[in-house]
Amino acid sequence: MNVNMSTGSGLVDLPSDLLRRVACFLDRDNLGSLSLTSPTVNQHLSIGSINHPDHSIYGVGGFFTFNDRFEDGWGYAAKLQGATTFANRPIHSVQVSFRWKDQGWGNQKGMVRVVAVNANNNRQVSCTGIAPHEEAAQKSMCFVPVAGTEYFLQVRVGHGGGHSLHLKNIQLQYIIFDDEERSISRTHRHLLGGCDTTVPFGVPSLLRQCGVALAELQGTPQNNHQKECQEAVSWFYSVLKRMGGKKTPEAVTLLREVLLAESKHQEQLQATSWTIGIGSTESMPITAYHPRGFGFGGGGGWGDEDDDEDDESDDDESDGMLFDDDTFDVDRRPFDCAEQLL
Amino acid sequence: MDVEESTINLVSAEGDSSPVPLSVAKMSELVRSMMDEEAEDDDVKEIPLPNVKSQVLHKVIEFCEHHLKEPMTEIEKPLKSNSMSDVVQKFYADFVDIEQVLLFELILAANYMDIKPLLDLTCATVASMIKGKTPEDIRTTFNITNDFSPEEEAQVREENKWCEEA
Repeated sequence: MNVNMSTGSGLVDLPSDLLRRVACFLDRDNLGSLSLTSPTVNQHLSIGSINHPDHSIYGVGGFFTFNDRFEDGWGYAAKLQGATTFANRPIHSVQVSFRWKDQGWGNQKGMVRVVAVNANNNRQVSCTGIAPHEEAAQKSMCFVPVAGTEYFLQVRVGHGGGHSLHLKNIQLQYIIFDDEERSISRTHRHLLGGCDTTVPFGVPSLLRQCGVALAELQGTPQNNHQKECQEAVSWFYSVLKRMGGKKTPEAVTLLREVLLAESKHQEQLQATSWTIGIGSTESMPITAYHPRGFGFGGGGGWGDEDDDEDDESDDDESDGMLFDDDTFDVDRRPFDCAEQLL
Repeated sequence: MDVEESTINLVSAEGDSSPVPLSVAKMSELVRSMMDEEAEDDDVKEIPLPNVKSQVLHKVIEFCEHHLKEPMTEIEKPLKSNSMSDVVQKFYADFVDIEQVLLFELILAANYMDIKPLLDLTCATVASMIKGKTPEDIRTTFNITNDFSPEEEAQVREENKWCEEA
C-alpha cells in the first residue's frame, strides 16, 4: 500500500506507478503520444519494447499453412501469452503480427483472432478482417494481458474445400514498463536483436554460457570447460561492449535475467505450438493433412451461397465479443480434427 | 425490525469527522486493515485520514456508498471510447465529470485509501482525456510545459518506433 501522497495535482505530478496505471487504459498509439508530452512523463513511463526473435514462434522460414478442415469454425493455433510481466517488469500490451494470404482464388474466408480464456468465460479480444488473396503487409493485433487469463491465437480457414490460410513472419512484441535506464528492454535488444544471425546457439545455450561467464567474473571459473569458458566470457564481453556496459558480475546477472525471461517465454510457446502437428510448413506436403484432398470437394473456394456474409474488408475488427464456449476448446487442435476425419 | 448498521468516523485532513457505515468504510483496504489492527480495542470509533481533504473525502464516501448499491462495471483495457458514459454506468460517468484538480486529488486519495474501483474509474477518466489527442493537445489539456529539447524529442520518437508498428 502506498501511504505517501504526492502534493502535486496534475498529470506530471502523479507518481510513476499511478501514471502507469493511467497508461494501462491507453492503446499503443495514445501511449506513444503521452510519452512525447514531456521528459518527466517519458521518464515516469519508461516504456520499453521486447521484440521476441522471429523464430520464437513456429520456427523460421516460409509460410505456415492451414487447410480447410475446421468445418468453418475456429481452430486452436497456439498459446500466445499467460503472463503479465516480463523479467519482473509489468507488460502494458502484447502485439502479435504476421504476413498472410489465403489460397489466392475464389471466396475469401480466412481470418485470425486472439481469444482470452479464464475461469469465467472465453472472449475474443482482437480479430482481423478477411485474409487477402495476395500476400499483404504485416498485419497486427494487440491486447492487454490480464492476470489469470491466457491468450490464444486461433485461425479460421473457411469451409467448402480448397480454402487455405498462410501465415509467415509471425512476431510477438511486448511493450513493458521498464526501469528508468530501460535496462531490460535495452539488454534484450542487444542480446537477441537479429538473433537469427548473431546467436546461432539458441537461448538455452546462451544461458549456459552466461553461467560460465558469471563464474569466470566471480573468480570461480569452471576449469574443466576452459575453452568454452573463454568463448563465453568473450561473447558476453562483446555484448556488454555493444551495450556500453562494464564487465561486472552485476552486468552479466542482468543478461541472465533477460535470458531467463526469454527462455520462460519460449518454453511456454513451444509447449503449445502448432509445430507439434498443427498445420504444416511450406516445405511439407500439405495434402497429407487435408481430409478432402487439396483443391477438390464440395463447394471449393467458389460460389458458396453463404459466402457473401463473410466478405468484410481487411480492416474490419470486432473485438470484445463473447462467444459460445462450444466454439473454443483449447484441446481441439486442427491435427486432431484431421485425424478424426481421415 | 431492521438492525441499524454501526458506523465509524472518518476524519479528514482538516479534522472534519464523517460518520460512515462500516460496510462503506471497509471498501477502503486502508481503513479495513487499520480496523483489523485495532480489533482488540473493541471500540474503534475514528479513523484519521490526514492525507485526504474534506471535499475529497466526501466524494470518496459518495462513491463507496453508491458502489455498494450498484457495483461499477469493470473498465476494459484499452478504453474503447473517450466518453466515460460509454464505459461505465451513468452515475459513475457523472461522478467523474469534475474539475481536473479534484480528479487528480481523487486519484491520490483512492490510491492512499486503497479503493481499487475508484482508482480504476479516476485513472480511466484521465486516460479518456488523453485518448485520440496529439502530444500538443495533451499538453494543452493538462497544462504541461514542453521542455523537450529538439534532440531529446527526436530520441524519444526513435525509441517509440514500436508505436508506429502498431
